[in-house]
Amino acid sequence: MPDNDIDLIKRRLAREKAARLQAEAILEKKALALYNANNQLQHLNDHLEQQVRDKLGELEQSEQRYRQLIESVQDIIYKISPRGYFTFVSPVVEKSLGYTEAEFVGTHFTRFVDDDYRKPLTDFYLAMMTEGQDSTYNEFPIRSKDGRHVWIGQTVRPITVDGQIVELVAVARDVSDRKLAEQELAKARQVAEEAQRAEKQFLTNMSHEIRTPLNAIIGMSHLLFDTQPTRQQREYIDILKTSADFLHSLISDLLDMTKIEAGRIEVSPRPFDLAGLLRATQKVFEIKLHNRPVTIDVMHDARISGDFIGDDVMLNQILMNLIGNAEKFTEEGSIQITARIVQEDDNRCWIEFSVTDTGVGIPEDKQGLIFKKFRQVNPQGHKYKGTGLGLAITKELVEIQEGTISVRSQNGQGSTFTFKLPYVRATATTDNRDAGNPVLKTVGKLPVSHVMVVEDNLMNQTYIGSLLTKWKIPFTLASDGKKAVEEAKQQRFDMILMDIQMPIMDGYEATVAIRSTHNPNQHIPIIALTASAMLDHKSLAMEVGMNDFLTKPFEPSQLLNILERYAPTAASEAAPRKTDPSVKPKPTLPADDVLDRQRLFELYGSDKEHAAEMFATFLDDVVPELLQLPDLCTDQNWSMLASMAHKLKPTLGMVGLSRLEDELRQIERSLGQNADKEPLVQRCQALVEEVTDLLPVLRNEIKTLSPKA
Amino acid sequence: MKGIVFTELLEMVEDQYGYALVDTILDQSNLPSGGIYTAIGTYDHAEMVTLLHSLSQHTTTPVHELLRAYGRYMFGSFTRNYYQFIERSTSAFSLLNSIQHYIHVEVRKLYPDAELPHFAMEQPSENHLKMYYQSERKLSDFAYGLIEGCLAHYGETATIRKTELTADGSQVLFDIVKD
Repeated sequence: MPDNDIDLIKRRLAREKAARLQAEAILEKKALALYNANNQLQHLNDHLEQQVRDKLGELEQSEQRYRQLIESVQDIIYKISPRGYFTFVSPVVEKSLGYTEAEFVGTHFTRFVDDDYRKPLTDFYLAMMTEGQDSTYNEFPIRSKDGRHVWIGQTVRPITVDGQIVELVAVARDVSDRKLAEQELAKARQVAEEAQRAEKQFLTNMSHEIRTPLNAIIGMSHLLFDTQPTRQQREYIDILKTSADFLHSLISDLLDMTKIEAGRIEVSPRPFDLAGLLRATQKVFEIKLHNRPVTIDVMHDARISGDFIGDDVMLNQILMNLIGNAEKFTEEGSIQITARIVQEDDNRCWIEFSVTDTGVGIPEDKQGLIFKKFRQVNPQGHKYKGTGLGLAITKELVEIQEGTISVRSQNGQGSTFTFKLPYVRATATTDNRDAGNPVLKTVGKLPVSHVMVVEDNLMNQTYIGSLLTKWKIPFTLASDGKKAVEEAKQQRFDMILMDIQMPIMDGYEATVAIRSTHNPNQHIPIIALTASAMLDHKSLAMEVGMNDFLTKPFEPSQLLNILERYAPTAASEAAPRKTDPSVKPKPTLPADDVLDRQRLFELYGSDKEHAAEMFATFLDDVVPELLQLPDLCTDQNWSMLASMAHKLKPTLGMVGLSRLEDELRQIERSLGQNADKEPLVQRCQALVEEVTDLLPVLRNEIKTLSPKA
Repeated sequence: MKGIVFTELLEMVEDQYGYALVDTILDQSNLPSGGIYTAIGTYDHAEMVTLLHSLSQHTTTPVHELLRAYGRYMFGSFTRNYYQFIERSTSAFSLLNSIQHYIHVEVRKLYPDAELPHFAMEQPSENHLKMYYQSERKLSDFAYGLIEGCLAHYGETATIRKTELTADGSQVLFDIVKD
């Protein structure tokens, strides 16, 4: 081998060796890195293993805790298979139902349930299984091992695996105590409701029971005044009456307040003549204030005309309370009632009423108290008696109707009570009340010819009977509703005064019967005589078709007012009358009231031509003969006078001069009695004078009746 | 630069020209490593440039041809030493497509300090592949040889068109269309 080659091999060997050493060094380093990496890996592995062990331990503990929880929970937790077999039940079941876990698991649920509940419970589980409702609660009784019935309330939830319901899990608990409490509560509620009904009945009865004798006491005291009592007796009767009146208002207030507090008062809107109601109220107090230096005025906005829809019964009560109050505290001066529209839009019409008196007034610091219950702030203490409920009731009544009330007063200067109520204007045709608008009449001879009084109480019969007799109004008595209905079929009355609480058939039923069957009295005014001042009774009276009500005990003036208001007004239905401007009738005899309109209507109806003819005949033929009567007196031609009176008497009635007809009848009667003839001359003279005065009225009537030229 | 690139180059020179040429270029080039290379070591890139120039002079072959030939040679070496990377692919395109996101990823796990070129791939059709080469080492001809070696390994033939995208040769497009 050449040296060159040997050198080359040597160099190569040296390079290879160097490279090997280099590689070994690198590998050594790599091996060390690998060793370290391995160690680290081992360490990581150990750590991981520890973590797994820890987690497993925690899981075990958690499972144990969970199991302890299930075991310690008082609620029974169970699982049930789709076929209805228990697959798990928490051990507490033994404590509440007496069965062991082993007795439950693997047993069908129907074994623990009474027959009655098997079907509904089966349906319940089936629905849960098939419909998969999220969570549902139900209650049912289960039979415990010792045979008791334990009510179970349970929340059941389906367990799903891959969208398939595999079993139900339920949390159930013994709800027997609550169930028992519920049953007892229901029983208690029933008892309470019965007690409430009994209380209501008691109130109604008491109202009636107290008022009936009170009515008699007040009524009789009125009648006693008419028995020419001595001065002392009059004084006693006065005290008797005042005390009875006070007792009456006391009871009314208490009963009203009870009703209001129980929320039994409801607003019953209906169309009514607001201006008419104000006038009627004024009238009632005018009569009451008779002989006292207190005047009562009503002023209302001209826009208040026609009917308004609202609760007139409540409005009446509010006004009565406020005016009554004003009257009580005013010795001398005036009471002013005003009404004006303060706001009107399409829907509502707010009317502001005020009652102003010139009485003692209310001190400023007391004004906040007056609407409170049982508060009386009058300085004279006992002088003004009352329950102290009147204004509280008034406030409640205003507020029930969504209104507001306030007072302004100065001590010694009088008070003004102002309240605002919302009404709705009635369209002209909505009102179909039977009696039409009440027309006030001046007190005079009442055109009421026949009244039916329906009343079971003997004292009240006597009282009302005496009053009607005193006013010369014929009446028929019916002692209960059934008799009233029968009587109503027999003859026509001008009005029926109807008691509410009566045996056999009460006033409401009787009214419904009269209103709904065909009879001569189907549409005549029926006035409720209610011993109960309760507002809901009044509302009911209106609902069944009564026209108005009178709360017993009432004063003669109140009955008279009602009679006047609902007296037949047939004449007012005739064509409007024009009065001859040249005629100045005597103030006591306004032209409108001279002619007996009802009589005329009965005679001629709408046959104006016939009526005009009769009037003309009367003026042409009868008047000249009438004018001869005084002469016959002077001549003392009594037989001729008697014959003339007899002949002319009916002709006066033919032209509506009913009063003069009466007068002539009495003259005729006097002639037949051979009595003193001297007064007759004057009476005939007066009669002739009256006829002469009435001639323009009669002529005017012919003009009105004649067809237009 | 990984030692395997040096050892395989010297292996190829010995195969084709004998160890005497290896000895000569190692002796003549003043190399910082003293010409001692091991496949698992890491050496300065500049030494490779020196060796290639020296080899080019002695063999009167241009450097780019030497590199291309070396690429082809290297692929053969890869098939023996790194068979697990290659057997996963059943075709040349499939292997070329796996370089960037599989082979280079695995190489970095073995040699965290390895400096590898970046390939962006585009395959307009089944038989058409575009490889965008990018490397500061500017050894696109080495890559060229490797692609050729790959095609040869799978028994496939294709027309490879090489386009320099930058003047310095750091970005090159290989447009490969299978025949």
